[in-house]
Amino acid sequence: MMRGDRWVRRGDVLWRQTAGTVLVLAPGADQPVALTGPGVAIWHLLTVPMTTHAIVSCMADLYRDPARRMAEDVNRLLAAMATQHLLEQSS
Amino acid sequence: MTTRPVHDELVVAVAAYGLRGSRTSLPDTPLDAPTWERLIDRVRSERLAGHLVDAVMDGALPVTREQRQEAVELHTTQLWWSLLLDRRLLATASALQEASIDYRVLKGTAVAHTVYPEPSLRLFGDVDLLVRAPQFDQAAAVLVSLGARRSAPALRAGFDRRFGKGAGFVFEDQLEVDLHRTLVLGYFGLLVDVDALFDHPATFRIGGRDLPALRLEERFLNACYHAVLGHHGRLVSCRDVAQFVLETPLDMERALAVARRWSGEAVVARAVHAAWETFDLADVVPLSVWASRYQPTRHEERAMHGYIGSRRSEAVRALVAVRAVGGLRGKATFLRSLVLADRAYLDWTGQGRLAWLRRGRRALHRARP
Repeated sequence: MMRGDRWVRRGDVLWRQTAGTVLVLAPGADQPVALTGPGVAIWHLLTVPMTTHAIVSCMADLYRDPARRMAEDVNRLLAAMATQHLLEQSS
Repeated sequence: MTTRPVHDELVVAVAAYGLRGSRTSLPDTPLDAPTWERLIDRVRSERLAGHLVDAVMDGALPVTREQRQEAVELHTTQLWWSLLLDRRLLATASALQEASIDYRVLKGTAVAHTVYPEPSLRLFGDVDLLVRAPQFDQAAAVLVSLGARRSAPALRAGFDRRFGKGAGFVFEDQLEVDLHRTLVLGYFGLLVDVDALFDHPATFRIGGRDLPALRLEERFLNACYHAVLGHHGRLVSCRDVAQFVLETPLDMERALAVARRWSGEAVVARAVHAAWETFDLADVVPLSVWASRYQPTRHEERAMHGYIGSRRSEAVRALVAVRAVGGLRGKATFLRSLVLADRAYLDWTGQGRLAWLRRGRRALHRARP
């Protein structure tokens, strides 16, 4: 995943939230998916398009963790959320 | 006038949580197991889990770890249902639009997305859509083409389109879409100017798509009608009424002018008064003052007999509704439909024709002023 890739939530994903969890239902998905922890933070960040680099930086600030260490987790999460059709790349 | 339904104080306090000016109070220590079980049962049936979790997470309602988990699990389950309903709404909206059928989203879905600060707070059990009477049968056919089946047969062919409130449609996955021709069954529903409800729609966004709802004041009146004439005494409906009055830029003069045109001022007064009493609201606003001073006429009280009070019944409601049907021919058609209900409808109610007619006669007796 490139540092300059820009991500945003897919507009057609339905979602709700409860105590520290975001429930998302992607188009075509059989069941909603529950996002927790960093997944929730990324979901709330991506109301507007952000680069991978900016997301890593925000998450590093939020979790008080060095960006270098955070990058791997964030990339993994972004890839998983994109596979589940929750996010899309923005130009 | 006693409008306050009997409720557990605790459930009322949960339903009122976050409502400005409510003097209800939550306990300051965790509830014992039996009391908690009773609370969670009521919260489930009243669809109040959003407010319960809100109160728990804010620390306003102290709970044990297990109780917290149970509250969040209940909310999660009911939110899943809301998400699936939102998706069914989008699919139905697309199909209606494709068939050039005008519609408005009513009740729970519209209220959750437009009146509460966060749709997760307001849970709902089905999708409600209003369509114009001439397009009712066509809209019903669209729902059937999507895989739904009608949950109950029509009283008589054409009755729904002309006199009914609407019909429920259930899908195989148990999701339900209620198709409305008007806002409520009977007298008050027949007096709603349904065509005007399609003017100046408000919109809200779900899944990246704008959907049409009623204008704010009409949405408020719909909430009042539902709270008083629908499921009378349901806390979630009562909360909706208070939420509209306290948290939206409602134009009171306009809302009351529309209510007057619908002969529904007594309904609005009762709904607002009940919300203020139930949630013990301290804030005095012009609408709550108006509601507390409103004196229903004898005619209005009689019209409400079919919906509330000891004489409440579907049959009484239907007979009271005759007064709102226009013209002698219309009244005759309405009464003929009641008397000569279709066989499929009688079978569905489990009654023979004779039992049906006897029931009607009893209702006629009870409907007398």
